[in-house]
Amino acid sequence: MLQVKNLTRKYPSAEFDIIALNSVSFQVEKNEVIAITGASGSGKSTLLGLLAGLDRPTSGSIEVQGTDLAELSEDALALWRGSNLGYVFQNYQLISSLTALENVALPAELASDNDAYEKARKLLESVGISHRLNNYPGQLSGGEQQRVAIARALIRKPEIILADEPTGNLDSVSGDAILNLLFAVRKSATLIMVTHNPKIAELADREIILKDGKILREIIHRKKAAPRKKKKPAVNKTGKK
Amino acid sequence: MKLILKLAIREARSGQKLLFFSALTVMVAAFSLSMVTGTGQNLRDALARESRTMAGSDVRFKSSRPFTSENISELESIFPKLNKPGLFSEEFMTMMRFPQAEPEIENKEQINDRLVRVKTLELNWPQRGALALENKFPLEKLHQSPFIILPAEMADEYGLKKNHTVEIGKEKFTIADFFIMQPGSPLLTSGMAPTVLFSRKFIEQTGLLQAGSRVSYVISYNALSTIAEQRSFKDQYETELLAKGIKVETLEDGAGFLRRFIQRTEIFLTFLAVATLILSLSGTSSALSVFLKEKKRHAAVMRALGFNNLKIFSVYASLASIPGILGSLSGVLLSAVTIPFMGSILANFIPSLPAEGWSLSITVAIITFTAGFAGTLFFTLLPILKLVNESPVVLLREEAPNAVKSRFRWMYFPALFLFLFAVIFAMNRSVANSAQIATGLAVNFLLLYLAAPLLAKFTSAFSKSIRVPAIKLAIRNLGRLTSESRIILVAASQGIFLLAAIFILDASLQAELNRYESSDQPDLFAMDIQPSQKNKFENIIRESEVTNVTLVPLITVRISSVNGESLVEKTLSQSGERSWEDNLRVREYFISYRNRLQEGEQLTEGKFWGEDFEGNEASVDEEWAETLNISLGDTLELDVHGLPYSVTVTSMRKIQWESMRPNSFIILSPGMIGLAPKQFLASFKAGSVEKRRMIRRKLGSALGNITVIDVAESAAMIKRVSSTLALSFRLVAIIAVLAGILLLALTIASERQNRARDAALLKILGSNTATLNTYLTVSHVALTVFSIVLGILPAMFLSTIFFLPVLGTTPTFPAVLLVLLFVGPILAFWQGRGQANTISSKSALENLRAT
Repeated sequence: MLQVKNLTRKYPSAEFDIIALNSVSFQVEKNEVIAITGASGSGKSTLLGLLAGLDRPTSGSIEVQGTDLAELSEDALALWRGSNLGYVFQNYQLISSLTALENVALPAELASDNDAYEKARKLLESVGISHRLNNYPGQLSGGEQQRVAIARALIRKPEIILADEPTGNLDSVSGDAILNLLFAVRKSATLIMVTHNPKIAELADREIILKDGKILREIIHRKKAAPRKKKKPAVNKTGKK
Repeated sequence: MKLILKLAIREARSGQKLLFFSALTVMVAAFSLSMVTGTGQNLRDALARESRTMAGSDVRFKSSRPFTSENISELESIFPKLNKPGLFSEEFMTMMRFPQAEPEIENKEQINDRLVRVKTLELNWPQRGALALENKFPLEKLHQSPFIILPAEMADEYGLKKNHTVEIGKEKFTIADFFIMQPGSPLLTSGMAPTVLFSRKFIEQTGLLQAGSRVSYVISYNALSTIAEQRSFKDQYETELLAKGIKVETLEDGAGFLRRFIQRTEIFLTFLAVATLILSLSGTSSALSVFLKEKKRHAAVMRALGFNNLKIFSVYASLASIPGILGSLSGVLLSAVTIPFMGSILANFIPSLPAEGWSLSITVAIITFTAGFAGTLFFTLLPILKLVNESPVVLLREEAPNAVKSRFRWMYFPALFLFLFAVIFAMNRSVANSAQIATGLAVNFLLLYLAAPLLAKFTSAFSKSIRVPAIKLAIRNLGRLTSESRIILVAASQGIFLLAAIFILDASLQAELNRYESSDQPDLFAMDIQPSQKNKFENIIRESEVTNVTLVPLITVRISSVNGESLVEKTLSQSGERSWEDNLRVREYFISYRNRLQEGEQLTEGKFWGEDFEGNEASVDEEWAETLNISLGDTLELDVHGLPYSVTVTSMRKIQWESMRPNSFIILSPGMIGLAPKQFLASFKAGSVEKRRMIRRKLGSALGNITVIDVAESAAMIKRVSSTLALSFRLVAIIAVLAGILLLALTIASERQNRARDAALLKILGSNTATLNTYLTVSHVALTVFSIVLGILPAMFLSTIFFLPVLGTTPTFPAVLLVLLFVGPILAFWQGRGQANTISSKSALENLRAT
C-alpha cells in the first residue's frame, strides 16, 4: 500500500543543515493503523507531512500503490491528496469564512460531487454535531472543530487518513470521542496517526517510534487487518486514479 | 518596565516581516501627508505672494470720499498692526486722449481716445512686488513731472511710444514707460479698461476729482501678510467699516477675479491634505490589523498570565512605537529632502511660480510626525482596547471578536465629524466650508458602516447560489463579519472614495477654468449704441466678418422697492454714511431683457421663462441677491425713467463675469420693457490685432459716439492666470493621487496574507493551480469591484452634495472614473494570478508555514 524508502528531510540553515528525518524506511499495509510516536523534535510531524505530500523529501522516496510521490508535480500532488488522502491537523485548520457544513463539503465540492452537501450532513451527523451545521468555526468548541476536521478528512472516502496529534488540543472526553471516530474508519482506510500518548499508540496495529529523525524501533500491538480482495487502480503521474 | 520592553521587543522580532511592512506603510503615509501638506502649503504661499504682488499691497481701504485724518487715526486705532504709514491713491475710470499714430487721412492728426482706469501713485508704491517696466524708468521720477506709465499692450495697439503726449482731463502727460502685465505683477486686474499710472501730485491738475463722481479714494497698507489673517480681519471689521462708508479689500479682493480661484485653491488643497490624512491613517490601520491579528492572541495569553490592562497596554504601546517612530520619522525626513526640489519641478510647469524658498515647515513636520505616530498608537491600541472585557479563553479561540458591540458606537460619527471639522477648520478657517466638507466625509464613513452588514448579507445569500466552491469561498470571504477582508474592503472603498472625489473636484475645477479659455471669447466691446444706430452697426459688423456677436439692449433703472418696502427710505433711515449695500440699493443699474440664457451664466434656482414668458419675470445674479437679501418670489418695483415697472424674481443665475460676456445683475423677460428708452451693448470676436484695430477705426468713423473697448488683453491675462491655477491644482492633486494609490496598494497588499492561508488550505484539500487561480483572482477582483463601486458612487453623490458647492462649481465626472472601473479589476486579476502562481509553486507545508 505505502512504501517509504530511505526518506531524508534536511532543513538548511545558515550554520548547518538540520536533519529532521534521516534515512527512514518502512512499509504500511492496506487498512493498517499505524501510530508514530517519539519525543518532541523526533521528526513525527515532518514524516507525516512528507507522507501527505505536503512537503518534499531531500532524498528517498514514498510510493503509494506504485506511484512515487516525488514524481508528481505540485498540481498532481494536490489532486492525489484530494482523491486519496484525508488529513487531520492538530489545530483543525478550518476555513473561518465557511460554516461547519461548508467546510466538510468543500473537498467533495472541489471534486465536483453533486451530493457534497448531503454527504457532509450525514458525516456531521455521524460525528455527532448535526446541531452545529451552520455554525462558523469561531462559534464551535475545540472538540467540535476537530470533529468537523475529521468529517472533512473523510468525505472523499480516502484510502489513507493521516492525523497529526488529533487529540492534542482536546480534553480526555473529547479526545476519546475523536479517537472512536478515527478508529471507526480502520476497516475502510489506512490510518497513520502521530501521537504523544502511549495509550493511544497501543490502540494501533503497529507503533513506529522515532528518535532524532530515525526509527528507534517498531512495536506490533495487534495483528494487522486482513487486506481487501479487490484492489483499487494505481495512481498515475497526474495524480488521478 | 524592563519586562514590558522585553516583551514588546520579542513581539516585534517574532513578526519582523509584518512589522517592517507596517513601518513601511507608516513611512509612506507620513511621507504622503507631509508631501501633500508641505507642497500645498508652499504652493499656497507662492500663490498668496503672487496675489499680494498683484494687489500691490496687503490691505486696502476704499471710500468714495477722501480720507480724513480722523478716518485714518480711527483705522489705526481699531487695528494696531497698521502702524506703518499707508499709501494714498485715487482710482477712477476716464477717457484718455492721444494722437493716432497712423492717421488714416494724411497730414491730419487724428485724436483717438480710450477708456482707461487711472491709478495715482505715491512714492514707495508698490508696497508688494515690483512693476515690470520695458525701459526700467525709475518710478520716483514719476513724481517730478507729469509722466505717465501705460500698459505695453497700448503701445502695440495704438502705436504709442515713449515721450508721446496723452491727455487725461485737463492735464497733458508724457509717456515715461510701458509696464508688462504678467502673473505676479502689481495691477494685474481684469477689466474692460487698461490701467494707467501717474503721480497723485498731478491729480488736481486734471480737474477730474471735482467732476468725477465715481472716484475711489484708497489707502493701502503693507501688513497682514497671510490670507487667513486678512480674512479674519475683514470678517471682524468689514461691517463696522462699511457703516462708515469704507470698504476693506484684502489681497483676495485686490487680485480681482483671482479671488474666487484663490479661495478654491485653498479649499481644494485643504481637501487634498485631509484626504491624504485619512488615506494615511487608513493604510496604517490596515497594515496594523494584519500585524495585530496574531498579537491579539498573545494579549490574551498575557491576560491569562495575570497581566492587567495597563501592563498589556504598555507592551503594545511600546510595540507600536517601533513602526510609529521609525515610519513617521523616515517619512518626514524623506519629504524634507524632497520638498525643496518640488519648487523647481513645479516651476518647470508654472514658469511664474517662484522656485526658491520651498521647504518643509517645522509645523508640517511636527503635525505629520504626530499624526503618523499617534495614528499607529491609536490603531494598535484600539483592537487591544476592544478586548478589555473579553475572557482570555474567548480570545484564544481562533476567532476572537473583532468588534465588540458598544452602545457608544453611534457616537463614532459625531466624534469623527468633530475631528475632521477641527482638522479642516485649522487649515481653512471657514466654519461653513469646514462643516460642509467634514459632513461629506463623515457621511461617507456612515454609508460604509451601514453598507458593510448589507454587503455581508448580500454576499452570504449570493454565495449560496454559486456552485463553484473556489468562487463561493472567494465571495463568502467578503461578507464574514469577522473577516479581515471586510475591514480591507471598507478601507479600500474609503480610499477609492477619496481618490474619486479628488478626481471629480479636480475635473470640475478644470472644467470651470477651461470655460475662460474658450477660443470664441469676445475681444471687442461696443458701448452706447443708440437704437437708431443699431442697423448700421450690425451691417458693419456683418461686413467685418466677426464671430460670436452678442447685442443686448440696456435700460437704466433704479430699484424703488422690494416687496413694497422702499429701498431709498430704508437707506435714508440709517444714520450716517451709506454702506456698500446701501450703495447697491440706490445705485442706477443697466438691465437687459431676453428670453434665453447665454454663455457665461448658469441657472441656480427657480425656472427661466424661455419662450414661455408673461413679461413681468426677473432673473437676478445670486450673489447680488444675497447681498441685498432678495429671494425667489420677491417683487421688485423698478423705476424706469420715472415710470414704475413691477417684476417678480422667478430665477437666480450665477454669472461668470470673467467669461467676458455682456450681462447684467437683473434681466427681465421681454414685454413692455422693450418700449423703454434704451441703448445697446455689443460684444464680438474679431481676432488679430490688425483686424481689431481696423474694426475700431471703421466703427469710430461711422458711429462717432460709440465707445469700442478692446478686452483681448484682459481675456489673455485671465487665460494665463487660470491655466497657471489649473496646473497648480492638477500637480498637487497628482501628488495626492499617487500617494493615495500607493497607500491603497499597501492596504490591499496586506489582504494577501489573509488569502494566502485559505489558499494553502485549499491546496492541502486537493485544489490544483486552476482552482487556486480561480479562488485568488475572484477574491481580488470581487474585492476591487466592490471597493470601486462602494468608493465611486458615494464620491459622485457626496461631491455633488457637499464638496462642489463649497468650491462653487458644478460637477464634472471625469473619464478616469470609468478607467478605474476597468483597470482596477484587471490589476486585481493579475495580482490574484501572481499570488496563485506563488502558492502553486511552493509545497503545501511551506505555504501553511508562511501564513
